[in-house]
Amino acid sequence: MLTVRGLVAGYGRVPAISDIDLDVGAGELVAIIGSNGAGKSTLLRTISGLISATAGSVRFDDVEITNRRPDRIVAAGLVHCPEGRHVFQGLSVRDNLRVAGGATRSQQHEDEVFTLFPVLGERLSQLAGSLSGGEQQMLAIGRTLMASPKLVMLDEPSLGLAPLLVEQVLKVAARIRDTGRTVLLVEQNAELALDVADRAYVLERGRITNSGAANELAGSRAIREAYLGG
Amino acid sequence: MAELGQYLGNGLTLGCIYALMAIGLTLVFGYMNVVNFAHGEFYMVGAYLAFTITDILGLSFVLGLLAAIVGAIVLGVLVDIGILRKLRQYDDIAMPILATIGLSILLQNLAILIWNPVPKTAGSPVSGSSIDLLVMRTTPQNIFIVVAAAVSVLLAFLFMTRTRAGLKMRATFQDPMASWLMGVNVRRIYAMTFAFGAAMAAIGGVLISTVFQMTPTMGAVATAKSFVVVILGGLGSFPGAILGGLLLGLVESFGAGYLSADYEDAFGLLVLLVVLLLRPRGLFGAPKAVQE
Repeated sequence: MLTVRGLVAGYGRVPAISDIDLDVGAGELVAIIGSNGAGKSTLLRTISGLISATAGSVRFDDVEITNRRPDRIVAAGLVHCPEGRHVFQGLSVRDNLRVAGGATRSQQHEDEVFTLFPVLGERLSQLAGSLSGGEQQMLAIGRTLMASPKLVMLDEPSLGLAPLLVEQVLKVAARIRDTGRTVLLVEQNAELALDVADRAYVLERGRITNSGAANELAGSRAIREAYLGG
Repeated sequence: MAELGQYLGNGLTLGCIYALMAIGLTLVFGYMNVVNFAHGEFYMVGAYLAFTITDILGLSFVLGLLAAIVGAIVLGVLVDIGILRKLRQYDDIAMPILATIGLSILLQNLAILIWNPVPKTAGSPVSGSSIDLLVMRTTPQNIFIVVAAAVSVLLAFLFMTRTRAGLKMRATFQDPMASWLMGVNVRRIYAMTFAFGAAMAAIGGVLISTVFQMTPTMGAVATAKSFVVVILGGLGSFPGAILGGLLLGLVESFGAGYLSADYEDAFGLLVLLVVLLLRPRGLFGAPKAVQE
């Protein structure tokens, strides 16, 4: 479904990511793990069109989408839930969901979002900025689903959440996959990410250094020492 | 007592025009980071377009107003796509300043070429002698301006709060990156915002020209006054633009009436100084304060 080949991108002269090859099949939950500053967010931002790639290609559903305008990539069904939540703080929960939802299809998506996150349904008129951190993360994911994605990219959804919520949010990623969508999950918490993912890639200093089935990676000694605390 | 009523009427009229001017400027300045020195030229172009339709071609006032609005929207979109969009990538506030100063000179001189520099008078669609309204003593022309301005502001407010396009604008003002990722074409929203502000200014120009003469350079003072209102009301604040505009209009009118007409412009600046001393972000200040 998503095919990345030889992707290079960055902010200045030095590329933050290089030679990235990555495949995500339909219905998979694929995780990208790696330490802070490895280039995980840069990779997602390049795929979603926020930063331009200097080389390589991104194909989605057999269509070339490299360096397309971000809203066109969303329209194609590839939607990126950014790191740090970025909900529209001054807008109500309802308006946050409406920004992403199309004019006609929103009812069905709203039902889906409220089933996943009942608390959002109770807070519709509340300003997003007044929600707790966990609720804001739910809103950020819910908003992403309103854009009717075939593939959801979740960037560090567990960042800054209490340990109990971290586990919950990652289970949400699995539930989204179970409803027939494809998920690309970027996560610093490698243990939990490998727990929910089907496959995973390891990103180090802007390059992919390892990949494979999630349970195999979780069993590998190198991964355990580097990311899982031995 | 009679004077009080008159000053109130004049101040309110002037204040409505200032509010119309400031709405666009405050959004474009506050959220697009464009200090638009050509803002007053949209006001001037609006006045002249309406004058051409109404007084030269002899068509109705409503058609003149519509022509001004459509003309300003087209010009606004062209300016954003042709100039501002190309400068946005540099993220340098000085570039749009220079570009819009150049644009204002260009538009002023084009207006001189097309309509010549002799001041023009446009008719008001209403006429009649002074009337007393509560404590106010005012003219039908002034009442028409206040009502038309109020309707325009109300429609603008409904557009911002009740339409999908307005929702996308508000989302983009808060977080352009997240808006891109939620499928909003942020570039189009910026062009729309700029054109929206231009149209509001053009309405102001059409309305003011029903009571004052128009000249090709009338935009310069209007730009300066609009900046005063924007700072007074708070950068990026829609209600701030409206209340700031009314406040400036009333202060100028009362100051000119009771103290000295020579210092009319100074009173507004004096109020601005006082407000900035007490509330440095303006009456309704602090956009973007909620960003993480």
